[in-house]
Amino acid sequence: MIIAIVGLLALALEIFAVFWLMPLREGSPYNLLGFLVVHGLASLLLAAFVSAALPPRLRKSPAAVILLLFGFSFFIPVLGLIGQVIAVLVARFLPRIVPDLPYAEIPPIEFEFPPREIRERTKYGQGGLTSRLKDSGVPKEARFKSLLALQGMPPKIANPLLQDMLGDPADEVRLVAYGILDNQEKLINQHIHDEINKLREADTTEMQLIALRRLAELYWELVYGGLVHGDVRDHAMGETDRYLNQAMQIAPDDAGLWFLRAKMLLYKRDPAVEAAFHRAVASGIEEGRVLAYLGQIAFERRDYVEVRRIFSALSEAQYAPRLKQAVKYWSGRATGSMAA
Amino acid sequence: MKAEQPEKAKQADIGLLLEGTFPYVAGGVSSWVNQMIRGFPEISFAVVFIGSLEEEYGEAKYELPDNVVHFERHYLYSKRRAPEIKKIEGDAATFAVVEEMHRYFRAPNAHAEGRELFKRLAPELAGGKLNHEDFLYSHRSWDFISAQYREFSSDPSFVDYFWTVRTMHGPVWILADIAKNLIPCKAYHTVSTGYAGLLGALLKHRTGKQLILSEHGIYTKERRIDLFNAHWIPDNRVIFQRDPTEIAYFRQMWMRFFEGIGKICYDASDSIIALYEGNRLRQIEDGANPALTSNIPNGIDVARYAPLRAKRTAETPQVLALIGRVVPIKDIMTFVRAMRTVVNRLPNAEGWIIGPEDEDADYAQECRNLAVGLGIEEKVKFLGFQNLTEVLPQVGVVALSSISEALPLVLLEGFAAGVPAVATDVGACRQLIQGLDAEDQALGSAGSVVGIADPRSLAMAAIELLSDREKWQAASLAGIRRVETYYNQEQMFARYRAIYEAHAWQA
Repeated sequence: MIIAIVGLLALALEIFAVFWLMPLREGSPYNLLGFLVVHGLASLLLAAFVSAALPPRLRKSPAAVILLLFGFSFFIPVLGLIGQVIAVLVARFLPRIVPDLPYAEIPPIEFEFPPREIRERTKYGQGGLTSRLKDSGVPKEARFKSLLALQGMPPKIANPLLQDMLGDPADEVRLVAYGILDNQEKLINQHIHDEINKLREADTTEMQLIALRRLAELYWELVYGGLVHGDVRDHAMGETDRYLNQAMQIAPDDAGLWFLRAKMLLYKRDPAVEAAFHRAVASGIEEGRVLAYLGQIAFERRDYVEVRRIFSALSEAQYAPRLKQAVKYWSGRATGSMAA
Repeated sequence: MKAEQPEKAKQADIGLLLEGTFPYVAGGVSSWVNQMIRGFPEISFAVVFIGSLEEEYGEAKYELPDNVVHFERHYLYSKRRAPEIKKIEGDAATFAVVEEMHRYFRAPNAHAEGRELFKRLAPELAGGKLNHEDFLYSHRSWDFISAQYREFSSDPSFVDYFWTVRTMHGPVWILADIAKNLIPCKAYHTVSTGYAGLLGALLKHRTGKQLILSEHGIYTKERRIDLFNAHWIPDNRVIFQRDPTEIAYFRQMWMRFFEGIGKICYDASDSIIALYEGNRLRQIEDGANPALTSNIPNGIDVARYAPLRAKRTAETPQVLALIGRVVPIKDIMTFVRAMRTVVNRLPNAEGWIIGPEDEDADYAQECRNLAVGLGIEEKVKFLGFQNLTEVLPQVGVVALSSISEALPLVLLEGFAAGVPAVATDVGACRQLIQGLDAEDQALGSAGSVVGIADPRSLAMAAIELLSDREKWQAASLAGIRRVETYYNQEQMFARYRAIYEAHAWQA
């Protein structure tokens, strides 16, 4: 209601202003000044009226809008005002043209968080998995699921379990376990094949060293990952050794090569293993990386004093989280009673 | 060899439905089919071959016997034009049945209703109210697919879901067309479930004739394993949505699709035949009606191999032979690895791989690489396809390292020629080597059974037979007796003759 009055007032003022201007022909400057004042007031009121009639999306910055509308009617006297009034009337009373677009409003999508599966899924710890997999009394589907979960574990841990699964009474379990192991082995064998070709084509000792190192590592991976057994494992160990020796002829003080040699000797329970680990450290391997191995060697030698000494020397950043319990136990850091 | 296409006959006795086998593949099921057709010269066969892509199959490996009066082949995934796009509403009642059918697929252990539901849908698929256009373009189809996505999909991508559904179901209408156009037969015999089995079900419901299902391997299970290892199936779940124990949804969809069409085939079959008890139980587990199941083991032409026994030398030949196609399922690699151990212990021993290498040339190359890698390339010989009657007298032990088998004919052929075997514990191998019931077991052991992918055990078992003449002779004798008593092809033919009579002539 008020806004309509504002509109009518603006109209009336504009008419008044025009009449004010009439005597201008007689040349009085006061007439012009009076006109501008009244016209300006009319324009301002009209701007207020029109802006109120505008759709909300056009009213985001009211001051700027009012200034613009004011500008229209102030600088285009009479016509600006008429134009704006017509525009408001048209917008108000003419039917809106709605384009026939092939879109429809749909309700917003509801996202589930956390998603359905994660809430329903079973949690599998390593121990639970092992016992599920080994018990053929557990239903086939449950064993199958456990088998799938194995894929997220490191090969060193998963592979022996997968190996056991090769004798599972259910075909699916057996064949999927086979497929997982086979794919791993195939991948390594493919890399070995590629590296042998690279070695053949290597024309600098640098290139040779890269290929030899990779070959030793790949053959070792077959052994360490538990992918090969019996004579084939012996063969793979022989190849690791052979490539390692060749690589070490090129780079006799390479820390990585010594570390690999030491790990292999440890696997073979070769007495030279300790010296090899020390040599790896001397060549530049960070001591923390070998201490746990040295601890294992001392343990196997039943030198428990040495085990305690080594584990006590380990700082938390130096060992993998899964060693935590062993370190706690041997270093005596665990509980007050042990320290006492 | 070319599969000579016989004139299109007006009709045949048995419509033989074959997927990915005879006459384009050698060995295994294919040789069984060949044996069966030739075993019934008085019966006329119409053979329908179904493959995925034409380029995957070379020339025919078998000549078509004279009693194959009709032969046609179809490729489900070759490029073909989709039906013209048009606006279709879709038939409400038919889609209601489709919905029921999908509910049935999800509910295990219901037989009768599935048969009735599919019986209603089958005639609609070619020229009825559920044509390919209805599936591809109708509103109801869209509504159904999107509703299923909302209700079940755990993969977030609707686009991938939609196209997976479309691709997966495409062959259904090709099969419906084949069923519509096939010449009349007195009964249909499918040699697997899967697409051939679905075609059998479509034919049965279309014509009212009876359907016989013989399964060698278990198709659905094999598909499940293939799909598990397949790399082409997308998985759009983000890290929070991933469950390590859950197979990606589209993988599950494909597995369920084959389970579904397998169920349709079991439901439609009037006689469900397995090769051995283990597979029969598996069929029941997958939805076969136990009352309709039976076992008919493979049989071989013992008389053809018996004369070979006289050709053997007094010593056991130091040859371990693997007879089979060079493909991953035979796990030739394990055989090659085992040879490393055999050669370590018996330096004169050789390993022969007797079988075509063209089916998976890459794998064959990997096997050769492995032999080189193990330094036994001189000892492991890839002989390609050979005539068994010539080779078997020179073989000491037949080895089978397969990760999956049904009831392998090569063991029986070896037995008939007096060659014992070492085989992995898969399919019916244990039954063949050690005997099934007490009476069978009393015949003795015709070799050894070892675990899969265990080269060392395979090698040790082979070494034992190759180096101990007495043991070898006992095993050889047990094999001969077993194959003559239980696995003679005459017994197999007699049982199938009775089945054909019951379902084709008397029905």
